[in-house]
Amino acid sequence: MFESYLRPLLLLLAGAVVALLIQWGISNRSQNSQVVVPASTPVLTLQRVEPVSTPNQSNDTPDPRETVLRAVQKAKSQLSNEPMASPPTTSMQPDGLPLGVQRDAVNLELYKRLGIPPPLIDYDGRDIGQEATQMIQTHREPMPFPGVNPNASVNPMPFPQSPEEGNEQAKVYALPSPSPSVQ
Amino acid sequence: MKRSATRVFLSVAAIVCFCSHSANAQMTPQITQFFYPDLLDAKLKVGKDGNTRLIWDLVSNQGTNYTGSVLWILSPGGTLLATGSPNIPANVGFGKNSEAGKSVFNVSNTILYAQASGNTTVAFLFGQTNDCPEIGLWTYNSAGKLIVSVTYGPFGSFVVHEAYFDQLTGRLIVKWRQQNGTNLFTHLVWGVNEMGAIESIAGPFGPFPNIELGKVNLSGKNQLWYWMFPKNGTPHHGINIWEIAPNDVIISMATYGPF
Repeated sequence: MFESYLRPLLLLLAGAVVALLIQWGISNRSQNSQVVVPASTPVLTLQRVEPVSTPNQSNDTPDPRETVLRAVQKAKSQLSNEPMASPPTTSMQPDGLPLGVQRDAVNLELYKRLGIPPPLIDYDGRDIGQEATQMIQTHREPMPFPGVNPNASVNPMPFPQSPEEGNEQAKVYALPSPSPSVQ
Repeated sequence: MKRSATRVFLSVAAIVCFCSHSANAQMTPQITQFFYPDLLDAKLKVGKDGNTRLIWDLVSNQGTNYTGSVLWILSPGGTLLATGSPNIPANVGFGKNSEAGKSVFNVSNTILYAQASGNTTVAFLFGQTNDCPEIGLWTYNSAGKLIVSVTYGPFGSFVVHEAYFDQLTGRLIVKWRQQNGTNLFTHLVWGVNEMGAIESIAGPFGPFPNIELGKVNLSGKNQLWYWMFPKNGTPHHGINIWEIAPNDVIISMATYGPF
């Protein structure tokens, strides 16, 4: 009588053990396929990192592991408490320009007419830091105000009463050649 | 009879008081501002992305040795998202001097704007004097990488009398002026975009005796110039507003007062 109760009980236990083994095997496999991200990594930082691509490689699919590893490295460097500059990283926009750079923001024709160099802009993702630092540390010699006739005789003039009068007065400062215009 | 006489007397007194007050009112348009209004503002701005931009001034030796500044970009929760690279060099200057030569502002000569694009623009008001001969601009992207650098000047006897960010557009307003005599100035103003490019030029205009140029704002790419007249000699002032197209053509004028 006792054996008749024991046999189904043993079968039930054996089934449960087999089920547990299968579940353990599945969960172990899924864990191996994930890259573990440290809990201290800021989530916002991970979301903001974009894959680095050059114009020639823009169609390549980024390796997710590389992206995550880069994000972890970046987060680690950002966790420093000192207010020092971090190494520059380059993220590109879909149009091939570095993050934040706008095409056609500079009217090069205007700069040509004014005779001054246009802004230094990172159009290709290179590091312009050193060049920019040197630019603002370099002593420059004074030059005449761009677009303004340096030989204009400046005398006090009555305050204009109409736009036409004001525009007429401003001709005193016009360069002998066609004056620079923004549009 | 006595009561009605009192009423009449009080009414006349009230009318006389009101009229004399109106006649003596000093109406002045409040269009002038400090040399660099953003300079003393906290070097901290929140962008439309909700992230904070913050400048650290690196100062040692009990505040006497300025070695540069650093930009930080923080999430709303305070997580450090990016730091500006490279650091801002020390030669942009620290503090402006009064006419007596005393340092009056113990902050770096930098002003900051969080652009709608996510970029951060920092302008440099070089030197210790209020009228600086040169101005510079750097723009960092949202990852803290420097993407734009430009310097303008020195240009003869023109100096940057005021510079500030237009709060609506994020353009840097650079007000150049040239002194032509006692209280006589020629004015020229640039609007500079976040890529450091000159977008609008207005001027030179003047010199106009006894008239003061106040604020300049932007309406689209047009510049709005506010003049106060007369500058001296009376407490009653009027205001004159010019709208100037980016190609340096005055397209409208409006005058109010003096009242």
